[in-house]
Amino acid sequence: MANLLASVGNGLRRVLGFLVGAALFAIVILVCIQVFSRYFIGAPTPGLAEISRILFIWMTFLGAALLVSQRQLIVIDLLHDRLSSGIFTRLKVLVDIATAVFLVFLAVYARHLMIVVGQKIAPATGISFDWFYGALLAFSVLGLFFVAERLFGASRAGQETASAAEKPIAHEGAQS
Amino acid sequence: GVTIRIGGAGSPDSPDTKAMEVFKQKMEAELGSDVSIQLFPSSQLGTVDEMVEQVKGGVLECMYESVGDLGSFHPAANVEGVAYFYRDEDHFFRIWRGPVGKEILDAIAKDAGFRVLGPAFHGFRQFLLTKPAESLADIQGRKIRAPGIPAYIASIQALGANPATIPFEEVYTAIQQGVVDGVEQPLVAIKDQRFYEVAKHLLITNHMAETMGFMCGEPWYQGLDKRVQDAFAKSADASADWYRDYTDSSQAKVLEELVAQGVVVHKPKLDEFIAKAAADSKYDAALQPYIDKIRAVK
Amino acid sequence: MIMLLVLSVAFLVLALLAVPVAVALGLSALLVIAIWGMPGFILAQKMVNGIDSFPLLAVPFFILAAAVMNSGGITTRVVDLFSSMLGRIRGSSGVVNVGTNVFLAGISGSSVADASASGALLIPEMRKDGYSGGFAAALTAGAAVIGPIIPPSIPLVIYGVIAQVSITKLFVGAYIPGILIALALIAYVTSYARRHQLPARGRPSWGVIGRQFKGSAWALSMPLLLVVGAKGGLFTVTELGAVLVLYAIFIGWVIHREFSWRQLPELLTDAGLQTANIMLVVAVSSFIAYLVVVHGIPADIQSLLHNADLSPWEFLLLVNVVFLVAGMFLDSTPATIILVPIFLPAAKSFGVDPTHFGLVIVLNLMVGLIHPPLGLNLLITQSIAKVPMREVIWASLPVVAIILAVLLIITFVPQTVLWLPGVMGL
Ligand code: NA
Ligand code: NA
Repeated sequence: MANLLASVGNGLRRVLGFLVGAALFAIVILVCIQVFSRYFIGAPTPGLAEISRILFIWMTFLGAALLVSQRQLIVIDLLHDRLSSGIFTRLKVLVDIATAVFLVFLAVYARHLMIVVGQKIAPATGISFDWFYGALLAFSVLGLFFVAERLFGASRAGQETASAAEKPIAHEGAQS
Repeated sequence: GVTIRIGGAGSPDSPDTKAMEVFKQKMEAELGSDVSIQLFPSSQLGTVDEMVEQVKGGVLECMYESVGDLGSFHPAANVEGVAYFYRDEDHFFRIWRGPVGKEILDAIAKDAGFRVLGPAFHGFRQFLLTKPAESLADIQGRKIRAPGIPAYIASIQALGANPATIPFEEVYTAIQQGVVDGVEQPLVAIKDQRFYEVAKHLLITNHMAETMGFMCGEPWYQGLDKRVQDAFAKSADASADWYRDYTDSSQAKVLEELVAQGVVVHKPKLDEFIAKAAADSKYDAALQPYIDKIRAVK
Repeated sequence: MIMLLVLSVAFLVLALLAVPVAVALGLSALLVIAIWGMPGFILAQKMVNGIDSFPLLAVPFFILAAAVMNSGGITTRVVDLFSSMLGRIRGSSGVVNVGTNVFLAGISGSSVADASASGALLIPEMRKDGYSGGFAAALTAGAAVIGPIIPPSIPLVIYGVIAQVSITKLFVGAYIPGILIALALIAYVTSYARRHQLPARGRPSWGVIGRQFKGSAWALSMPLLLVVGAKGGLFTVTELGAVLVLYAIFIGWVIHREFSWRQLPELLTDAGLQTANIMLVVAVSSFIAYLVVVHGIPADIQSLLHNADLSPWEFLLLVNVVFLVAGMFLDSTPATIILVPIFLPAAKSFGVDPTHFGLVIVLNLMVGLIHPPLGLNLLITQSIAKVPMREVIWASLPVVAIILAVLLIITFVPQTVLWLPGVMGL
């Protein structure tokens, strides 16, 4: 069970990492096309603008789910130096549970919202607004999976990713 | 009694907000302490789109904005972006207070769940440009800011300008930096948003007009007492009457103020604008039945 | 008011227990929803709409552009050139950072774009000069405050519309406050570099500088692209970020031959994740403005203001305090929309010039971008510097103090704002 969770989790992490990068690349290209089209062709591109908005929302919430799995969400770590490692480990479980509570409510609210706007379409592309708010539902569900993976799986694979992910904070990142 | 919260997007001193206040006064005069009305102007509750969703979700009773904002829920609302519908104000009210307007608004209530009350006129849209423009020829190929709504884009294109979709809050700096050559907005908005500081050439084209209105959740509205419904409809129409008088009496004053700020005003003959819009405009097929209905109103 | 207290206490407790900022904020909001029975789906609505804004795209664009420029050998060339020219100054990259922000401020209207662009380019360089990551992040966040002060400025446009004050006059009045902040930060960073004995890079011969100049000619064309493109109406600053990414790939790949396509996926994912982290906080915090409005807090403040018998000085001080607290939780646009209509009539009755008042308010709200825990600029630069939040928070305290000192000068010496428009006859 733990192994299954971990291997699904690893697969998801790879897919999410790819999707986040691909969404950003697509946004860059779409915005450049918009600039080119407005200045040189004089044609408006409201459809492209809507698609880049959707991609940005998905990039944010899929990325946020991945960050949940890596324990990389922004934290105010003022007290970290002063805690013993025993307390710290227990605190991490508490944080996971708190995160899960938030995500459960978010999933319910996101679903409610999708029902409210079920009929709404984006004006230029005709895309349903479920596609905008669906990103939030995806974030909640994926985030809950990753929290569950840590809490119940406690698999070595999960631990490794978590601890490996914490390190880059200490030294400089890939781009420096 | 009943509590009615109404959201709006106009700034605190704008006529849109005053129209909400007129409504509130009339309602209180009609119903006294049976009603409590709270106004939330200047997008305090969120953007116009967010307020529309809040009304739809039943957590906000009503909002006061242009009916076109319902376009993402019902195609009929998009007729707002069609050029040269209205010959004059009387024609506007013959449409929206007559059977055709009622039919369209009822369709929106039935299919999309929004009840629109007190359709109101807050002035025709005009072109404001950074470079001199006196005629139709002068706006050909100019980059004009447009809302990201297909009917608006089609209309601006039909007039020969190049629409560029820029978010509303970035319009001032976009004009200043030359990203666009101008905007098309009602005079009140040109004054309220201070666009005249960065673009000085006003072309009176009267090419479109929004239909303002109180837009409420239909299930909520149908749940009201008949007495409250009647008072609501009466007060909303009274607010629209106030708005019409206000627009009539203030347009000349607003124009004077703009001229005092250095704006050059041109009033071209509109025949060629109307002819070009009629010849070159192509609207979404879903709009066409509504366009035909409105055009048929004498 | 009780709602605000519940919200703040719950948030601070959770955040100090190392619950991620976004989750702590979200759970505090859930608590408010539970106590006062609010419609919960608005939280979801605000979370998505809070980030559904084109100007926010500047964050990933500039972070990505800088990453591409770093890996394509562009940053090194330009920074080497500037460091050579400023070689005699200790820790020159700190001064270059403030200067870059003044330059960007003249083109961009939002702080977000400036913090992303200057941070991604110069935080690594500042660390090479020996600055700590926390200091570099805090200084960048503070310097990016200049962005929406020196025109063009989106917050000043929004104030001008709400207060019905000439935006042109606001823009002209903003130059001196913007330059004052820049000078104060330059004084701070140079004295910091002296105190910490950071090395001066030394100025090479003019011959060497000449060769560096030639070597960086293509790289130098990038700021040129910025000026020509933005001032010439080719694109907005947000769009520039995207153009810059492709242009940097072109130069790094075709001209310098240092950029490898294999790196691109990693750079993209990294920039995307950094952005996601910041945006999640922005998303949840956009719900707070709604809570403030529906709980009638604006009306509470109004009645407080009405009942207190204040002198003009006390009033302006009160304005500073309220807007600073608001800046902690609210983005500048909702804060302006909600609070200006409350305070402006009082300001006018005290004889405060509305142009002066606008600059005081906008500067106050911009301080909200750099004070912990929810300063957007701090979140951006922390995520670029990749250092623990606590280091950035400690390092930001003196920067906040300096900008507050400038704010006090501007608050109580109206001429800092009004003199220049007066000279220009506005
Ligand atoms: Na600026
Ligand atoms: Na803030």
